[in-house]
Order: sequence, then C-alpha cells, then structure tokens
Amino acid sequence: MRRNARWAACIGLGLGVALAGPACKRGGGSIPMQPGSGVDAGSFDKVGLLRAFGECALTTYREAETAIVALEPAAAKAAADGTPESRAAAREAWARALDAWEVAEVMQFGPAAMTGAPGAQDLRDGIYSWPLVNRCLIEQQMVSQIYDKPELATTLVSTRSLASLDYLLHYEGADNACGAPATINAQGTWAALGPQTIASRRLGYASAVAKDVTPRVKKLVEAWDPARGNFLAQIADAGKPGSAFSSQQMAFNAVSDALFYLDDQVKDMKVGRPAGIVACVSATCPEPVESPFSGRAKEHLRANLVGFERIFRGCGAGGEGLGFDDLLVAVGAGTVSQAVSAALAESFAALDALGARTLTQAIAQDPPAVRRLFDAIKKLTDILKTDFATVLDLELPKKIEGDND
Amino acid sequence: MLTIIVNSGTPVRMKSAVNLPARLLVAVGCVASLGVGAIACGDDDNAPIRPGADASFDAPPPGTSDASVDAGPCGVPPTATYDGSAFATNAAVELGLRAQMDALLKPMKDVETALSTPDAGAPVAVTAQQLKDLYAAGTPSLKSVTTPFYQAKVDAWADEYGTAFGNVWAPAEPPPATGGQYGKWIVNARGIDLRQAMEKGSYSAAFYNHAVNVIAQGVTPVAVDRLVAAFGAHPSFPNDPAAAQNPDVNAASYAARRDSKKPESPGPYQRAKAALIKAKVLSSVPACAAERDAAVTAFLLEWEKSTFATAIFYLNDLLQVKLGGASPDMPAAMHAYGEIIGFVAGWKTLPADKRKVTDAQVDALLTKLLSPPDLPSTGYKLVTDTAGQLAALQGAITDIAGIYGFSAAEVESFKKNN
Repeated sequence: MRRNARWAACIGLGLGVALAGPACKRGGGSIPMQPGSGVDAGSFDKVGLLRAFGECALTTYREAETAIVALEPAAAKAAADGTPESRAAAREAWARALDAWEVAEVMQFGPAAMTGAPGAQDLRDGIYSWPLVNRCLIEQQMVSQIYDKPELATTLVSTRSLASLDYLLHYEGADNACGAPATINAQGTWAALGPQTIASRRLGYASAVAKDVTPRVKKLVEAWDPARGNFLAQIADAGKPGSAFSSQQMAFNAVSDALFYLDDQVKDMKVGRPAGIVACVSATCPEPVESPFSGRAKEHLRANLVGFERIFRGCGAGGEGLGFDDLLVAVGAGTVSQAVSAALAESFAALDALGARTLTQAIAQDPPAVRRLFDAIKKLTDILKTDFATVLDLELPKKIEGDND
Repeated sequence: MLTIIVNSGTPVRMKSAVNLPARLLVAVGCVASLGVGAIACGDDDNAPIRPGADASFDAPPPGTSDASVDAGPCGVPPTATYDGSAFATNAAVELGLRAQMDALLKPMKDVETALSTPDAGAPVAVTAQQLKDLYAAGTPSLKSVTTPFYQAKVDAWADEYGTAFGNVWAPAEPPPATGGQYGKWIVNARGIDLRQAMEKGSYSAAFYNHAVNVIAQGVTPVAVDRLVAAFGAHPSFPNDPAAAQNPDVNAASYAARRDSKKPESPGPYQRAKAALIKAKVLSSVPACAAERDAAVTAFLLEWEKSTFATAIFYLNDLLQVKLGGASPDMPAAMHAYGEIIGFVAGWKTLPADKRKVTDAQVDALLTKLLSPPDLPSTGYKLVTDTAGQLAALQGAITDIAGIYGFSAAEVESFKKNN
C-alpha cells in the first residue's frame, strides 16, 4: 500500500515530467526494479556506500563521545564549587556535547535505533531523550536525591540524558513545574530546600547525568567499533550471513528511515509545533521548543541539517565521500539529487536568516521567517517522501500511533 | 456416522504454495460435509498433517506454525472462514451480556461526555443503586457470570461512584475521604477511574469466566459461537474496533489493537481467530476432541495474553507519556491507571487451570501497581509523588513479560496501537 502510494506520488507529485521519466519507469525504463529488492545501480559500489554510512555514523558518534567525555569533569567541577565560572564552563561543555550529538540524531540506525529496527540496541534515548524531558519529575528527583544513587540509571529517560541538562545547567529559578498536589509542594519539601540548596542540587544532578551519559555513548561507539562490536561490518556486509540486515536494501532502508528524523522531529516537532504550524491549537506553542532554557534550539537544528548532509552528500568536508547523492546519480536520478541538495541549501539559508535571535525569539518576533524555515525543510522532506524514496525503491518509515481509546 | 481416512505419517511440508488451493478445496469439502455424513478427506498426497496438539497453556497456538504444515485428520486450513450462520441465535446469551455491559457503562459514559463537552450542562446524576441494579439486571446478569471476587469489587466501586458523583477529586497525601471528578472522569478517593476498573476487569472476571463455564458444558458448534461473542468478536472477525460492520468490542477490541494485521505475522487477534475457526470446525468431530480442546485452550491463552499485553501498552503510556512525558496529563494518567487495574485484577480467582497467570502473580502485580490485595490503593501517589512510583510501574512491565515469556521485541510491539 505504501508502495502504491509512492508510485501515485511519483506520478502526481514528481519533480516534473522530465524527472518522472527516469524515476518512475519500473520494469520498462532505465531503472529495473523488483519490489523491495532495491534499485539496480549497475556497477555502483553499494557495499562501499553502506560502509560509508557506517563509517560516517561511527565518526559522528566518536565526535559526540569526545565532547561528552569532556562534559563529565566540567559538570563535576560545577557541582563541586558552584561558581559562576565553573557553571559557565559546564554549560559550554554541554553545548559542545549537544552540538556533536545533534549531528548524530539523523543517524539513528543500528545500535542507536529503537527495538524492532535491525541491530537495534535502544542506545539513543539514554544519551539524548528529547522530546522526552519532564521537568517536574526531575524536580521530584532533586528532592529525593535519587540522582545520587545507582538507581538514576533506570529512572525514566525523561529525567536524565543530555536533554535534562538544558534545565539542570541553565535554569536558575527557585520554583518548580509540579502542581500543588505534588508532595514536594503539598508537604513543602521543595520550598524547604531553599534557593541555594536547589541550585546546588541542580548542579549535583547535572553532574550525575553527565556521568550516566558517558558510558552510554561509549557503549554506542564500541558497538560500531571494528575492534569491538563491529556493527560497521554488519552494515557493510548487509545481505550476508551474520548481518543484522538480510539484504542491502534493508540496510539502505534503515539509513533512509533515519533521515526522516528531518520530517517528524525537525520539521514538525522542532519547528512546526512551536511556530503554531503543526499540532498547535493556539497561535504558537513555544513551550515544546527544544532546549528552552539554554535557547539553543536553532543551533540544534543546524547540527541536524549537518547530520543529514553527511549522510546524503558524503561525510567528509564539503560532502567528500560517498552519499545517497552518488547512488541517485548512479541510477540516473541526478535531478533528484540536485533537488535534495537545493532544498537542503535553502533550509540552511532559512536558518541563517533567523539571525542572532533564538528560535523562541524568532517565533515571537518574525513568524514569516520561521515559516520560511519550515517550508524549506518541508520541501526537502517532501522530496524524500516521493522521488527519493521512489527512485531508490525505499520504504517510508513507520509512524507510531497513539492511544485510540 | 463420520468417517475420516487418516493420512499416516509425520508432518509433511507442502512442496509448493501452488498446492494450496487444492488443499483448501479438500479441506473445505471436509468441513462442509461434517454435518451430513461420511466423507473421505485424507487422500491428498499433500494433505496437511499436524502432530497431535498439546492442550497445555504453553502450547504454541494455532496459526503460529508454518502454514504449510497443517493438521492431518483434524486439519483446518489456515484460510478457512468461520461459519457464523447461526451466530445471533447461538450466542444470544453472550450478546445479551454484552448489551448489559453497555447498559451498565452508559450512564457513566454519559457523565464523561457531559464533563468533556462545553456547554453540555451538568451531567445527569448517577447513583450507586442505579449501577448495582444495572449490574444485576437480566438473566443471566452480568453480575451472575462474574467471579464472586470481582462482583464484590464492582459493587464497592458502584458505591464509591455514587459517593464521588458531584464532587471534585483533589489528590493529596493523605488522600481525600471521597472521590470525584478528575478531568472528565470519575475516580474514587484513591484515584482509580471507576468506570474503567469496572469495565476492563469485567472482560475477564465476567466474560472470560463465563466463557470458561460455557466450555465446561462441552465444546459444541453452539458453544464456540458463544465463545466468539464472549470474547467480543463477530464471525466476520474484522480485527478492527472501528469497523463499520460488526466492530470488535471488549477484549477482542484490545486484542485487535495488539495485532499487526499482517497475515504473515499474526498477532493475538489473528491467532485467536484461527483457534476459534479450528474449534468451530472440529467441534462436531468427536474423533478430534483433543485438537478441538487444544484450539480452545489456545484461544483462551491468546485472550489472556492480549489482555496483559494491553496492560503493558497502558503502563508504557503512563510512564512515557501521561506521567513521564514532556507534557504530563494527570487526569488522563489516572484514567489509564484505572484501565490497568481492571485489566490485571479481573483475572484473580478465575479457574486456575484455565489461565496462565496465577493469583499470586496477580497479587504481586497489583502490589507493584500500588493496589495491593486487602489494602487500600495508593494509586493517587502517581499524582502526588510521581517520581517515587515509576520504578514499580516499570517493574510491572518486566514482570508481565516474564509471566508470558514476551520477548523484548514483543513488548515493544505492545506499546503501540494498531
């Protein structure tokens, strides 16, 4: 059914008549395909491309690992002395860690992916759980000080991970987000802490979170490392015995699914919803902006686009190396590659056009500019859903539905 | 007298899927002829053979094995349809019980509608006696087919509903003396959504219990129709609670939500359907009593497993969204909590040999779920001390998976609606 929808899209929503020719000639044109078997790319080095995807992921995870490892002592120092300088250093270390991790957000295939995906080990959420962040629960755990116990590792991800550090390292108020019935308010245990203790516990909690995240990102790197778990070989050897991917096409689908982070998370959750364009009943819904306390949502968006670019164009500087664009050219769909690159450039430009403002400020002060950013990313993801998926015979990712009671 | 030519030998794998139509014709011919007399059904070289089924609760359910290796003398092709030609007549009692359940729930649902509809005005008052009368109405009544354990629960919750109506629930430590409105729902003093607890627990305490009693009277074609109805399904098996025609209700609707809908990877609903089809076909064949009983056992197990899989769904929903998500919704959380309590508690005291979960396991789960047996629930702590309760809820998911041997991938699959 999804395949039929894609072919309908190919006919109706393609980039144009000129493109529709090569992109949609199943069985009678230039791109011989069997359903689900993947596109025939001639002599193109598909193994090399899959290896490049894996190496790109591993490189990106290692960059994140380096930054997260550096965060741990910075957060510990801030917790120990609580000076403005050490807190600023911890904030800066967190910003660098998240700048690195947000690039990897678009590479959630293999061990970082959720259970059910090939090779999945659910390692992403423990490192960065956004949008799962629950300030009230974090504050309850500040009172109980569970963050100082080993149990922190098994608490809900919405109370730990790099995502919680946006609040823990940046919020300086003495209030909490829990309602009046919550015991910490009803019994006065929060108020009894006093502003100084609240501030020191936030930093203590932040240090514990940084300490908790470090082994998680190391585990992810080890899972891919050729000298350890060597998932790199599994994706490069897709279709061979022992690989988590029963076919090369399955591996391409997994990487493609990860790129759709740009659609549901970036376009809709990070931009569309806060701007009131998607799933928002009021004019704007700024509260779900990513990293609201640090005001770094815009920087996260840039890193997400960089991650996409690494997979699509190639992981090296300036798009050096193999990427999906090379596969598109190999199957005669260079026009699709150009369209994706153009839409990506437009997205970067729209993001730059927000200027020095934070995303929250831009939403309030210049909605048209935010709308242009949303539209640019939508143009990109529309191509992914139609021509890109069609010419490469990729399945669109499954979406999680909610309760229908 | 029925004669079946038995194909000797061990399981035979179909040589080619091309043979399937021929096998179906043979099988359908057998099925169609069961009621009219002797027929030979085993002279196809490729006739599906299935080893004798184990009727234990751990036996693999029908429909999960390789479809090309099907039953021999008592075989039923996987694609066979259910003969529901006399369903309405045969299952009149169970359809009546379903209607009685709807009648019991309606005044409470009307309250929720009024509370959630702007300008709807005040809801019509619901009294404890009104609910008790509805519960005991009819012959048999919903109450009469329910385990005594859950009868007492429902009666007590009806009393609490009558007391709660017109109040507003204010969660606190210690909890208030009475329940009341919380969001658009009515909860008791301890925060349990009363309608949900009555309804979801009755799927097992009333309908499953009734199904077990029907089975005890003999698995006839009429009885199997009654099982389908007790489950909440229809002979057309839509596998869809929102189907335009004969939608699944009650336990069947939740089994459908846990089902992939893909024939190549059947979930609990499709497996229950396959078991019921098999039981129906074999219910007229005395020689196939063992396989018939195995099919019935498999059906019951799918019913039970899908109920606890649904408890996992709601537990995860509580943890990741309604309590632990970025935008907590406490009234919705307590609504879901009431569902979970019902889904779990309804299994207590059901006939022990007709279920996998034990009373001790149910009690342990309820304790983890803040509603221990013989003690007042502390479910309200989900609102007042959320962070302190989450580990126990997470543990309940692990425990349920352990009881049923659910894999990590299965548990993940239960966390979404289909």
